[in-house]
Amino acid sequence: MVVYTWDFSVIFTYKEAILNGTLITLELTFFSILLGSVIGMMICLMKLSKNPLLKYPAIAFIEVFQDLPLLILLIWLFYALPPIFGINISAFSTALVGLSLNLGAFSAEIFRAGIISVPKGQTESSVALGLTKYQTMKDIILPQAKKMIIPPLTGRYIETIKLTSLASIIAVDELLHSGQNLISVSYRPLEVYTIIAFLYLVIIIPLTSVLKKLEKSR
Amino acid sequence: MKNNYAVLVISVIAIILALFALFRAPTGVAPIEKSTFDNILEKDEITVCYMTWPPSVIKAPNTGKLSGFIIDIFEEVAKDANLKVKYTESTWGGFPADLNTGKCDAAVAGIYPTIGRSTSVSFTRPFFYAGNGGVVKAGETRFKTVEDLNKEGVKIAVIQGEYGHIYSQKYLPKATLVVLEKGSDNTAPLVAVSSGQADAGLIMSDVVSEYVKLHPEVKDLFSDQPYSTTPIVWATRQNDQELLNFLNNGIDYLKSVGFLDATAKKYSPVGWYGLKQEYVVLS
Repeated sequence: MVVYTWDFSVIFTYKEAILNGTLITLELTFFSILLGSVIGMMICLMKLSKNPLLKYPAIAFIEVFQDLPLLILLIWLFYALPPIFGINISAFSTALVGLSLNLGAFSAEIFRAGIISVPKGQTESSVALGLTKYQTMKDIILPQAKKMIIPPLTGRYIETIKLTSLASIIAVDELLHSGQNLISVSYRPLEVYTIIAFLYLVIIIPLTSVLKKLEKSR
Repeated sequence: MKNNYAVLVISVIAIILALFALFRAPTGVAPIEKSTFDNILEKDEITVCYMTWPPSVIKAPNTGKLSGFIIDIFEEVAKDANLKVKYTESTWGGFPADLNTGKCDAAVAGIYPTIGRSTSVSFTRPFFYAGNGGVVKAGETRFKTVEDLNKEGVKIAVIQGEYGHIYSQKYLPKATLVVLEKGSDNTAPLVAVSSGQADAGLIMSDVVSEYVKLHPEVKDLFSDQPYSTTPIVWATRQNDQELLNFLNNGIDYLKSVGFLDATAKKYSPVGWYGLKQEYVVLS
C-alpha cells in the first residue's frame, strides 16, 4: 500500500496561477474552434467544388493534417517555420494555428458528410425555383445538413479542448504548463495534476451537456 | 475511384516534396551581416530563453515574475553592459532549437553541458556545480549507496536526458530504468517513488531536498552528500563567439568579486557548489 501525504493548500496559495492557466486554455480553445471551423468550411467547399485547382489541394490538406500527430505539428510549426520563412510567431499563435489546422481538417470532412447527405433533388429543386448557389446552400442545404453535422462536430470541439494541453510542449502557459510550473515551486505534483484533471472536467462536462441539448433540439 | 486515389497520393507527395524543397532552399532569413553581439549592443537588449528550475530560476506562479540566483547573476552581467534583458520561456528539450532559430540569443538556466549537446550549441564555462541526489521509499533498507541501486529488479525513475538518466545508463546497467519525459515538472522521478512506480528516483539534490521536506513517504538516499556533481553553464548559438566571450568574461568577473557565491547563498540552494578561487604562486 502506497502512503502519500496529500496537501491541497498549495492550490489555494497559487489559485491565480491556476485561474490564469484555465483562462488561457479557454481562450486557446475558443479561438481554435472559431478558426478551425472557418478553415473546415472553406476546405469542405473546396473539396465539393468541381474545379480541380480547389478540389485536389483540399483533399491533400485534409490528408496531411488528419494524418500528422498534433504534437509533431506543433513542434514543427514552432521550430521549423522560423528558419524556413524567416518569421517568428509566439508560442500561443503557433498553438492556435496548429489546433485550427487539425480541427479544420477533421471538421471539413464532417461538413462535407453533412452536405452530401442532403438528397441531390433538393439542390435541383432550388435551382428550378431560381435560387442562387449561395441561397441554396444557406437556406436549403445547410439547415438540413446540420442534423448530420452537429453530433460529430461537437465531439471534435470537445477533443480540441483536451488537445490544448499539448501546447505545453512549446511553453504556452495553458492549464497543464501553469500546473507544471506550480509543481516546480510547490513540489506537490499529485495535488496539482488532480486539480488540473478536475478543472478539465469542470470545463468539459457543462459544455458537453449544452452541446447534447443543442443536438436534441435540432 | 482509382483516379481519385491516384490524385490523392500525388497531392500528398507534392506537399511532402514542397516541404523538402523549402528545407533545401536558402532560408528566408536575411543574411546576417552583423554578429549577434553587435545586434545586441545596437539594440541595448538581449533576448534570453529561460527554463524554470527553482531555486536557480523561479517563475512566480501567480505573477509570472522571474527570480532565482541564476536570473540575478545574468541580470548583473547585463546591467554592467547597460543591456535590457527580454525573457522568453523555453523548455528543456526545446532551448537548443530556440537558440538556433533565433527566438533567443542565450539560454539561461542550470544547464548541464554534454558532448552531444555541444554539437548543436555553445556553452559558457561552468559557474557552479550542482549535486545529484535521489530518493527511495521511507522504509527502504536495501540501498545505502548509489552502487546498491545496480541490481536486477530495481526500478529507477529518471528524466530523459538528465544527468541521472545518463549516469544510470552508464553505471547502473542492471537496474530497470523508468525514463520520464522532460517537461517542466522536475519532481517526476520523485513522485514515481512516492506513488510506488519506482524503487528510486534520481534528480538534482536541490529538488530532492525540498521534496523530502514535504513528502514523508520518501527519504533522501544521499542526505547532504550528492553521489556526483555536474557543471552548470549557459548556452548560446554555435557561431556566436563574441557573445560567448562576453558571457564568459561576465562570469569570470562576477566570480572574482564574489558575486556568484553571495547571490546563490541568498537563495540557500542545497547541493549547489561554487567555484573555488585558485591561486598559484609564480616563482
